[in-house]
Amino acid sequence: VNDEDLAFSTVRQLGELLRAREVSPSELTRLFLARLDRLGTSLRAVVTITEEVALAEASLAEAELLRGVDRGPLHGIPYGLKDIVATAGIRTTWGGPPFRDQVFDYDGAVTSRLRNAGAILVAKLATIELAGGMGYDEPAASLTGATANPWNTEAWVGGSSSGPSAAMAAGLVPFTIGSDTGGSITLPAAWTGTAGLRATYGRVSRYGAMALCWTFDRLGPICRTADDCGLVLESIAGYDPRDPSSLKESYAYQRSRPRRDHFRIGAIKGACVGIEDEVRTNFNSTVKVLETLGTVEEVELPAFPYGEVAHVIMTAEITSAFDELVASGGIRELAGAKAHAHRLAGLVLPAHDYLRAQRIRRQLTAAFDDLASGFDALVAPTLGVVASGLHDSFAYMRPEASPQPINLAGVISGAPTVSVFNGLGQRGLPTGVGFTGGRYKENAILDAAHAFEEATRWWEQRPPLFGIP
Amino acid sequence: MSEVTNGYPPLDETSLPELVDRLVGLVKLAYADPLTAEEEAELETTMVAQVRAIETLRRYRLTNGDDVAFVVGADGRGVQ
Repeated sequence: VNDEDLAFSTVRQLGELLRAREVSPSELTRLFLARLDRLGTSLRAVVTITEEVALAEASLAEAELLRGVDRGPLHGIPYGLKDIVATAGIRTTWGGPPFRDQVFDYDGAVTSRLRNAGAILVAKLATIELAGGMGYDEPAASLTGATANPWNTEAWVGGSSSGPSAAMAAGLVPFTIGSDTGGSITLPAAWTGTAGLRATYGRVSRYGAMALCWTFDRLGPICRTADDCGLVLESIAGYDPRDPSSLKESYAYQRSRPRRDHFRIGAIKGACVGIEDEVRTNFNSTVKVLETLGTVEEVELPAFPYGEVAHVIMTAEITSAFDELVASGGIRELAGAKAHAHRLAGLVLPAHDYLRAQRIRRQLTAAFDDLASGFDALVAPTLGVVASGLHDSFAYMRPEASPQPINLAGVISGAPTVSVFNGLGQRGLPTGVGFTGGRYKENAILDAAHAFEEATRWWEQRPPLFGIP
Repeated sequence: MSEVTNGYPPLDETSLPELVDRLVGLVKLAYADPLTAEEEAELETTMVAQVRAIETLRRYRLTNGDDVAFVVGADGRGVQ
């Protein structure tokens, strides 16, 4: 296997190669460190390359695998972590200039769990500052600048998990961890031709991750395939008393069970209205493929003020989460300071209106659960457009660029969504399709997305600039 | 979506600019640093969106059953 093929292999494929001793954890680690060094900085996808830690963890994994100690599917596999999760002794910048030298003396829960699973941390990856929490109107609102899209370096990758999605698309790491509050995993995954999983709220402990909006925040994988997302989720999921939102139930990906071959899919009515022609064409092709894998029925989302509920809850919680930053004047040190002024509106958002939004959320969640219970997955284009320009201001973004209502339904209700690659659109840029399911039903959406990926093999496509030896 | 008044008067579009102006004034009182003209314009735009979002939610029908079950960590299953 040549280096280029290794760089674009799935976690599952690399695991097989490691166990067949066709490659070692140290060789993989050196390969990805070199790619991060050579390509990561020019894409502005990387904050810190963790070479010393990586080589030590690789040596340990190598010795363990040689002794027959097998920690599971991530053992010996390098990965990158969005730079909002704490790593003891390694800076965690939250992507913002005021925090450029911030170092914690403890690991986030995800960091610890991945170390216990034998994964190898090779890089802290770029993020829109504060994971977009203060709002932003340009891709450059980040300590590391605007992250370029490996498919077309004049385009952006989306946010806020910009580094993880770009690093995956360019083959700089085998898997990454991102975070999502309003679409920050699924949306950049769609714009980079990668697979991003926002698991059920509470599935993954957020201990050690920057808080943004307590009742929306989630951590999750951005990988090459839905199958890899399942492998990573199983390693990072689980109860953690240090995160009060943590679910008590355990999660198993159940990757060894027979694959299902008949899915019940709901296609969201109206999801293609006003979107780019290429995105619509790709989605229609996706539906045709899904019809060969089961039944597809057009369904309507329950009528709720999704945007308004999300707006009010996020505004209230984010204003509280960043209270000290606002009070101290640190807000002015951020890269996108002008746009951040809009977050001050939260200072006069009445408490009773926040609680009203939470009460409507309860109705919304019940209605969405009811709809989702009839299907393995509800599908819609993840975004109606391909990636915007690297230097475009969002102030001029067209309405069809807004995330689909199904995205907000998942964000608000806590339901899981996986976005996978489903074609190419304008300027050679990827498009994505989102599979959203009922809460706690990650396996159903991962199965359906995996079946789609197996039927189409879009995930094997590589960005021309980075995929050709 | 149920359209109800819940006792709130309809949003008066003609008085919206004045309402926004007053709310921005409150923010300026609460926020120690003076705002630049650019920042104030940004804040005004957001305030209009915030007022409209609140207005929409205030017209949504709720019942006593729509309790907030205190959302984070409620019975260990997250959002309730």
